[in-house]
Parts: sequence; C-alpha cells; structure tokens
Amino acid sequence: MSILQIIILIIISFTASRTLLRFNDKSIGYGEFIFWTFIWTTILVLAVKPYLSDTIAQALGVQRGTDIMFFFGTIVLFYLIFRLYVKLDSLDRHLTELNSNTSKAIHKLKK
Amino acid sequence: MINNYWILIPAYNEQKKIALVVKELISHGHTNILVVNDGSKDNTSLEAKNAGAQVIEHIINRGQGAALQTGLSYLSENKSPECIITFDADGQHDVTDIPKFLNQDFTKIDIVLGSRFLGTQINIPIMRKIILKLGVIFTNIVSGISLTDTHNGFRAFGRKAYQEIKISQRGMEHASEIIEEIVKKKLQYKEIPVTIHYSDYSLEKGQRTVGFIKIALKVILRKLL
Repeated sequence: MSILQIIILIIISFTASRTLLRFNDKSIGYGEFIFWTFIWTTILVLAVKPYLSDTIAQALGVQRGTDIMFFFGTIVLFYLIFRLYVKLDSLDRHLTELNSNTSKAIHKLKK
Repeated sequence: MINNYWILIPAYNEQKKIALVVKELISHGHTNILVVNDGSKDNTSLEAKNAGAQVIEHIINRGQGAALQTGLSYLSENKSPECIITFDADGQHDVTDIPKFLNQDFTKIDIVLGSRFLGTQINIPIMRKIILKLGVIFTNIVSGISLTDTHNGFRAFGRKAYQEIKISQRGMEHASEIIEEIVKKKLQYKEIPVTIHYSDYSLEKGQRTVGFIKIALKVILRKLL
C-alpha cells in the first residue's frame, strides 16, 4: 500500500467517524447518513483498489477510470453546491423574517 | 379621496435627508408616517422620530425589500388602512404627487404604481435612464406584464394588495418580485405619472450599474431554482 493510499485511508476513517457521530447525535437524518456513507465508502474502495475505477469506466463505455471519477466527482460537487445554496437561501429568509417579527414586537412593546 | 392611509418609508443611513422628507410630508398634511429604519449605523431613527414619524427598528440591515415587508405587515396587522403609500427616504419623490394616488378608486384598483416615464425625471443621468429602461424591458419579459416603469418605489398598495403581496426578496430585487406578485395574484393595477428628482445625494445613495446587473442575475436565479 502506497503512502498516498494510507493518507486517504486516514482521512476517510476520520470523516466517516464524524458522519457516524453526527448521525448518532441526530444532527443528520437517515438520508444524509446513507448518502455520505456511500460517498466515503466509494472513495475508500477506489483508493484501495484503484483498478476498479477502470473496470467501472469500461463498463460505462469510458476508457480511463480517472475520467469517470472526475465526471462523477464534478456532478457530486455541483449537487452539493446546489444544496448549500438552497439551505443558505432558506436560512437567509428565516433570518429576515425573524428580524422583521422581532422589530415589530419591540415596536409594539415600546408603544 | 382616501383619508385613512399611511406613508411607509424604508430607510438606511438617511440621517441627512429623513427629517426633511418627514417634515415635508407633515407640512402637506400627511401625518401618518411609518419609517422602517433598516439597521442604520447613523442617527436615521432619531431624526425620523424627532421630525414626527413613527419608527420601527430593524435590529440588523436586511435590505429595502425586507424593510418594506416589515412596514406593510405591521400596518396591515395594526392599522388596516385603506391604502399604504411607499415613499423614498432620500427625497427623490415629490410630495405633491401623493394626492394623485389618494384620488384612485381602491375598490376597483388594488395597487397603483408610480411611473417616472409617464411623468417627469428631473436631472436624470443618461446612463441611469438607459439602465432603468433595460430594467423595464427585462422585468416585463420575466413577469409577462407591460409597464412603463418597473423599479419605482413610489406605489400605493390598496388593502387587497398589501394583504396578498408577500415580499420575500430582501434586496432591491423586490421591485421585480412585486410586479410578479401582481401577475400571480391577479391584482388590478394602474400606472400614474410621478416626478422623480435626481440629486447628487440620491444618485450617490441609489443603485450602481453593477447593482442592476446583480438584481437581474438574482431574478433569473430565483426563476430557475
């Protein structure tokens, strides 16, 4: 096993343990837990058995495994950015509503 | 002519002008004035209060759209006037135009929109005029409505309009959202000519060209998501 593979294993073990901890303290639900576990497991398997990416690529009609990893990596990143945007937008709206309601309540109390 | 009405002024860092604007409104007999101070860092609130307005304080700055929504919902919940006229804090709007709004029949019209392009624009820079015209074309395409001025803050909301329109866009893009809400809620609207006075102060406080591009991008993004 190469040094890079060992480093990836350590990082994945750490992030996977954080996912499990967050699931146990109910910070994330079943859906998110399964999604992240799938992501970390896939990275882990491909790090330990890199030739598998070539097998998957060829099965999907792509020559190199790195191409298919890059392709799926980009899709996952875009999806995560979209989710973050939706979440930020929702937080922003809630903050505006909270600010507005608090301001109106304070104004009424002062009167 | 309507007697039960309120003037709503969203304000952010307007300590230089707000007292003048409020006093001018009062001198013309418009005494029901609500200023929503949108988390200003200066003495906007004190100046407005001393001039004779009621003031709601936003704890933090959230933008003009948020300030308008706070004011509209507060007046709707507590005063229920026949109409609410929104007025700029920087002295761009002409107090003598207010009776034109009050003379409208709010049993037939839900919202009255001021239009500088039906009326007069004093000292408008050519670049601002081009940008505003492009904004009109853009908003008309996006909302499917035909208006002559889409980003004018001088409006009068009748009861149905202020109860049904919910402004969720906290920044300047709320102007496009109001037009979209008019279409979505099938509100009866009318444009009337108004005068806008451009001064160095109002141009300094107003939107930059980049700001208009940002608004357009936000509107497109909101449509897509």
